[in-house]
Amino acid sequence: MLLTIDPTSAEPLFRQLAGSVRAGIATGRVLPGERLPAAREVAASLQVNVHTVLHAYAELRDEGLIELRRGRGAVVTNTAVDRAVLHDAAVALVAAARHLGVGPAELTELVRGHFDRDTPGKENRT
Amino acid sequence: MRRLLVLVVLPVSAWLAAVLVSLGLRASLPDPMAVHFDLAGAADGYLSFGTNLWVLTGILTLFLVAFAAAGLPARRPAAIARAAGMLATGTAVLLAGVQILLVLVQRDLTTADAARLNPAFIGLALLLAGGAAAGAHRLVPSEQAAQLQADPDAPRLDLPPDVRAVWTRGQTMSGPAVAVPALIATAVVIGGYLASAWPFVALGLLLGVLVVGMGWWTVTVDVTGVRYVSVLGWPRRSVALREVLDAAVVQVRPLRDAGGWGIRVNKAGETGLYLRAGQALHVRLVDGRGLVVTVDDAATAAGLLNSLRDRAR
Repeated sequence: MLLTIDPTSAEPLFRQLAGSVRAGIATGRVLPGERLPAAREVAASLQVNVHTVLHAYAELRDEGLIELRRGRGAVVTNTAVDRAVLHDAAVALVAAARHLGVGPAELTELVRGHFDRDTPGKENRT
Repeated sequence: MRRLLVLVVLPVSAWLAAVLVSLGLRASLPDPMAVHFDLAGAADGYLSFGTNLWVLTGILTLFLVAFAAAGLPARRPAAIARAAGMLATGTAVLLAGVQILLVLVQRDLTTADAARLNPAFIGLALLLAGGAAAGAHRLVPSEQAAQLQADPDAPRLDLPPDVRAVWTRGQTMSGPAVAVPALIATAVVIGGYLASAWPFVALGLLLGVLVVGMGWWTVTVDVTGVRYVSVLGWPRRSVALREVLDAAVVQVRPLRDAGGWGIRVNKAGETGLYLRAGQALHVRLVDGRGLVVTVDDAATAAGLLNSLRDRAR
């Protein structure tokens, strides 16, 4: 897997790193069951603090993309691909909302509305 | 030419020296003379002076012809010539040393069965041969660095100037290639246990460790260069970025290209890790050496290595 970071970017390094893994998963370059390299080694290779890498791994774990297993390290979950795609969609959605000046509460309502509308058996709401 | 020196001139000179010493002392030697000794140093094999010399000369000639065939042709890479030269010089010095020892310990003896050869002297001859081989190693120069140009068409990754990147991949040896030694190791352990032959159990366990060590690897490309490391941490090989000339993807078949699986040397004299047939990362070094690693997604690895190398230049 290829992990890249841009120290000159405004985005926090750990988020860039998580995004790098996420991109790999979404494009199928990183497969379920694959092991992420040890945080120590990634930190050394990219010349960043090991805690930055650990933070990135923690974020990925919280999203359900990786599991931290004893002895095996960080392993990509089976549901990872789907969740990665979902996450990317969410990022795009939030970006679009921000661009239009739509706040989180309104956006949440919008999303919920679509869940209800498109779920068979539920009454329509406009 | 250096190759002629280490493959022919030095070995032949060493042997000639031994022959001359032998001829010079011939009159003082018993007939037949002792040519083999047991571990305690007592003589237990005899030949006439002449037969012994002819046999050894014949054996050495066969070896030298084989080594010369391997290493003399100009198109053979320096690594192969160097290895052949080391073997040729080492073998000749060893044989010469042994012959001289034989003659010296039997000087002025009336019968050969009184001859004694301390096994430690053989060790000395081996050391000397090793030293000669090491010398031969230094005598063969590597390919001219000036002749080697990085391939401008080698794959590259789009890497913006400030971006840092690392490429890492786990790779396992092909199932059958692991299974055979693993089965052998298991058989040795079980057989040794059943026969209460504990050395075999230990040997089997050691083999098992080796199988594990050769079965699972991690390959990494980053700003320090390229490396492959066994799951056990050793064996490992790394090439610093500044030693890299360029990298590319090649297709390999372990049996055909390197004679087998694991850490092997191919026909071009390049050491590499051959885990399975298929795509591999081929790195050319500035000094003419090379590295081959069978690994998936080799294209990204090669691209990253070339881009990092460009940046460092």
